[in-house]
Amino acid sequence: MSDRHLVEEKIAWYVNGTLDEAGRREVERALADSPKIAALLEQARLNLALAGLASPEEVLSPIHPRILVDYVEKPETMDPSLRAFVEAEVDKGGPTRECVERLYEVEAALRSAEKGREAIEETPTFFARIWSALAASVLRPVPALAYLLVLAAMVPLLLQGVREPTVAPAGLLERIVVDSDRSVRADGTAETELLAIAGSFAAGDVLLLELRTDLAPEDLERTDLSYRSEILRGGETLWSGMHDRSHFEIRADGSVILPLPIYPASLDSGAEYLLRIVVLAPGDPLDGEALYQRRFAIRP
Amino acid sequence: MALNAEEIIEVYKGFEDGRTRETTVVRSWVEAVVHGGNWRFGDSEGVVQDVVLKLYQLVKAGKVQEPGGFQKMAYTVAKFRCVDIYQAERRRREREGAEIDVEQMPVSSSSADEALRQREQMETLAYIVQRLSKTCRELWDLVYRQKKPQSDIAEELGVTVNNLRVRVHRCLESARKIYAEHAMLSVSEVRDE
Repeated sequence: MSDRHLVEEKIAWYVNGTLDEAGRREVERALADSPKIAALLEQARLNLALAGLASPEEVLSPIHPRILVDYVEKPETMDPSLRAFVEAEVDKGGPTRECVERLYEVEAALRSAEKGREAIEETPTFFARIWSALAASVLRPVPALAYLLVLAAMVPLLLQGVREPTVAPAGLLERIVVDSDRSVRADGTAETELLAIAGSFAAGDVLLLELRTDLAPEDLERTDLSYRSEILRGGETLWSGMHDRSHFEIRADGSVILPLPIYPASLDSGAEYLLRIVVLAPGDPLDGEALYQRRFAIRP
Repeated sequence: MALNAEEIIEVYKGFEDGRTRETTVVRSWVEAVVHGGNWRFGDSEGVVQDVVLKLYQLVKAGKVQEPGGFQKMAYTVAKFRCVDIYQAERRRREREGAEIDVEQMPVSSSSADEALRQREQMETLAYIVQRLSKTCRELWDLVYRQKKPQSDIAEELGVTVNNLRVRVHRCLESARKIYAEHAMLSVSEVRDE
């Protein structure tokens, strides 16, 4: 063992004033040359000063906050004897146990908050859900490429004015948004404003009418209802089709749309027709009620 | 949203610069601890302010060695402070029936500073002694409190003087390490700087 080590071992008695004169001189000589001895001496003096402040009982209880936090946060890494010391204090009850209980509550609250944040992060945003839905359908790479190619082929036709007067090129649907008849006359009867669909149509041409109903999205939640769309002329039903709630679309603005393809060439030009959607709910007061109606005519 | 290390470093930098947004984030961390346990502080808002101020002092004193771990450090400092204040409030409640409440007595500013300094020294002492092993605690008492010479202690413990010196030296080294750890997050250390 070196001389320096021997001197270091005497420091405790140097500061408590019980070291003999030879030992004191030895420490003082080494002090000038060794920063480590100076540091140990400083610590020993601090120990001496601190030891005079309180009795051992006062020093040992309550457990210091940092030790309690370590005990709650990482008991497995704590020195076993220190852990046993803390546990003995906790078993006694009092402030130490109360603080440990509070710290466990804090840990639980922080963990809970963290889990909450993770759950929020895992929940996709509205746009992410939309994108996910689209990516699972038409926006998958192969179909999307096919649609792009078809559109690219159609652009020249569109630029050449093939759409005149209203008919889309073969294969493309002309979309017409059709509001329902909601205006009411002064005498209380519904005004049947006529929708004029202008154009000359060939056999096989299709018009897609988007019937904007007055339904609310929650109206579609009823699973016991079905719907029938009808085209009438002079009170006589010329055509009808059955729908369930899946046929309706809910738009971003909350409007409920029923897309309905019609073949205009099969209708007499100039004649007036009535489009309507009827609820079918046997045994329900709604049964047979028209949810939507609109007069229309094909004009050359 | 949970922050990653880079975001925590940004919060740390903003907090150091005193920016409002980052200070609000740090404050929310502290509030999570102060309001997360059933501490029932007399002045929770004051505790939050106290911890945020202490964190600011630690940041300014360059005591944050890993800015990426600043959030964890904020939690830890807040927990320390909560336990400390909880224990102090509990002691005060226990004294409520006493005729003289020392903490309520009027004191001059110099004696108030001295009382604060002594309290901090007591905390340091408690931390060091409690962290030491049982053997070291016993030796601490014999050497520093009872101030016994090495020969008496060796005889009392039934060991040689050389063996006793080695044991005491190891305990002194341990105390130094513990004190250094304590100083890293010590308010008084920050204040002294």
